[in-house]
Amino acid sequence: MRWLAVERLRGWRWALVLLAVSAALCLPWLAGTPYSQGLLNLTIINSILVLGFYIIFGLTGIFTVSQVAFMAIGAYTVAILTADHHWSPWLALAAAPCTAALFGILLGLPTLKLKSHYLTMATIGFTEVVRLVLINWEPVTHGPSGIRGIPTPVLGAAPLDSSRMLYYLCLAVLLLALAGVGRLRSSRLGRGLEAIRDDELAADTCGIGLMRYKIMAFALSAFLGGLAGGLYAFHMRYVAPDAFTLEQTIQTLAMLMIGGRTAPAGSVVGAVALTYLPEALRSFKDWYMAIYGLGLVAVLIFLPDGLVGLFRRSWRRLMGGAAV
Amino acid sequence: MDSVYMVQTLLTGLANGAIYGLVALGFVLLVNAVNIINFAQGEFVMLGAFLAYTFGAVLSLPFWAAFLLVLASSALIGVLFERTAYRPLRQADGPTYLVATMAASVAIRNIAQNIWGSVPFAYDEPFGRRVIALGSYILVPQHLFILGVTLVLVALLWLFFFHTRLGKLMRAAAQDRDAARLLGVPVRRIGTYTFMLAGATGGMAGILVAPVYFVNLDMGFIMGLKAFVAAIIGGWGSIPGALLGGLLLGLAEQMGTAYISSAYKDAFAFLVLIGFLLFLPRGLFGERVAEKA
Repeated sequence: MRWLAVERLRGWRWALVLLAVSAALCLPWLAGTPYSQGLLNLTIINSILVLGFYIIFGLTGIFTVSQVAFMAIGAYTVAILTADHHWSPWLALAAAPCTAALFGILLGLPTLKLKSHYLTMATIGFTEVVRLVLINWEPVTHGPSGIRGIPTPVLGAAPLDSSRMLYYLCLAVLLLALAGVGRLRSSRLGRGLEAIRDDELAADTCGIGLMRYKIMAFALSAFLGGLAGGLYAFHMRYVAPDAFTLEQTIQTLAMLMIGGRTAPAGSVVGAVALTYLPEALRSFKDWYMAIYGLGLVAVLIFLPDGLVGLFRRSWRRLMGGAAV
Repeated sequence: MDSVYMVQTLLTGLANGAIYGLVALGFVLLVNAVNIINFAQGEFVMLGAFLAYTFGAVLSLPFWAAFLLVLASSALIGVLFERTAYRPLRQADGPTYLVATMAASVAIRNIAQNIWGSVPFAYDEPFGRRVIALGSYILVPQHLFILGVTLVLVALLWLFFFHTRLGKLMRAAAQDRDAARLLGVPVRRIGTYTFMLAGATGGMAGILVAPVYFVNLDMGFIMGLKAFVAAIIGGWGSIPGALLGGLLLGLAEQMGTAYISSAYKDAFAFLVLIGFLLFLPRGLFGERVAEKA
């Protein structure tokens, strides 16, 4: 069980994780309507997407704005391979994160030497170019009207066509990803990435190969983005360029910051919170983005570690500073 | 592709470039005075354009009155922005600012949408729809006006930052906040002044470009991005560089649109950007202050 990073999960943490997983397993029985099941699926998919963003921004400290572009690449990979080229959905789902990771490396290579805002700008440019290609490369991407008729994965004899089955697939992927990221954090690579975040110069001096480490961060983050995109394509059964907008980017960013960028759990917390928030705010529909934006600024000011940080602090206070 | 077409393309490119340069001055200003990047600078431009429409077309004030009112209210917006998205975060790290200004820009856009709706408006003061015909070439007076104002602004900003006390204090505060404060520079007050200036510059860009495009919600974002690219091409923080970078970008974009592909118009800006970042990361005029380790 070493790969599960068990050493990080002692005592109450195990209980918490077990509780969360069993709750996640039972949730579909509480979701009465297809709509609420759909929301559950979207929550899990968003969690995977944000987890990828956590690797590059939370762990490595590189502020990119391209996570949604990788999601788009993953979604279109699945759509093009299954709907147009009749690949097996499973193969397509495997291809999606790999394609995205490849683009992640392609984006990482030329931009690695850039610092702060230069790099952020370059990733905005990348995102914009991806969007333009999706809209304009009609023979392959079908242009603005998008791609319909994406089949669903079939598991043995049972088709995963019900939304509920897809939920379990997504959940399995998310748990694997969380375990992987947990493992990553305690690995040499993960610690190297954290060192780069905290002080790039010092990390370089300590013999951490900046180039190799950053490329890995780009690739892993894009990998998870592509995975989320592939699952998203199966969930919607239809992809179009307008699903991958600036708003979506800001939402991903907000999810990580509100959940907390210091721990992978923050990605899930943020994704849950912000996938359901619009439901609660339905009567303020016109003001969504203002609430998002100002809420995000408020979180940056008052909760720089997000909800996870808040939870951690109150837990510490509860336990009298011990046991953590 | 005859030469008339080519020259007209060049002229249009330069005209667009002047606009990018004008907006880029807002970025450059903030870099010189507080050393942060404001992703919402484009939204100041958008607000300026909408305010120009409100004062000039809805309340039908004369152009000069609308112009002054836009300047004043944009300065106020700048201060408001400073109090919400900058001042409370002074102690935070670089990425936090980027996230905060980006979040604020989304909020501003949404608020504008709720105030003015998503239908574009036309506002064509002070020149109306007049054009100047020079032989077989067409010049739009508004473009010349923009170029002129941008040139004047470049000169004024340069004088301000290099030859006035306040400007020098601002540059000192941008270079090393703590050291400047130790030496008695009123860092906080300077932050407020800076954002007033940035807001006003953005608002002025807004009223000037309003007649060129339709006044719409998306104009700020895309113009902000292009201006950002222009500022990088010109050399981060360089005042004349902003204008030159803008002109170069406008030219590259227009030539690309005319001779390669119009569908990818917005992509050319980023290709130029990536080219510069790869081969000339310091831009045309270089970064005066080296990156702090």
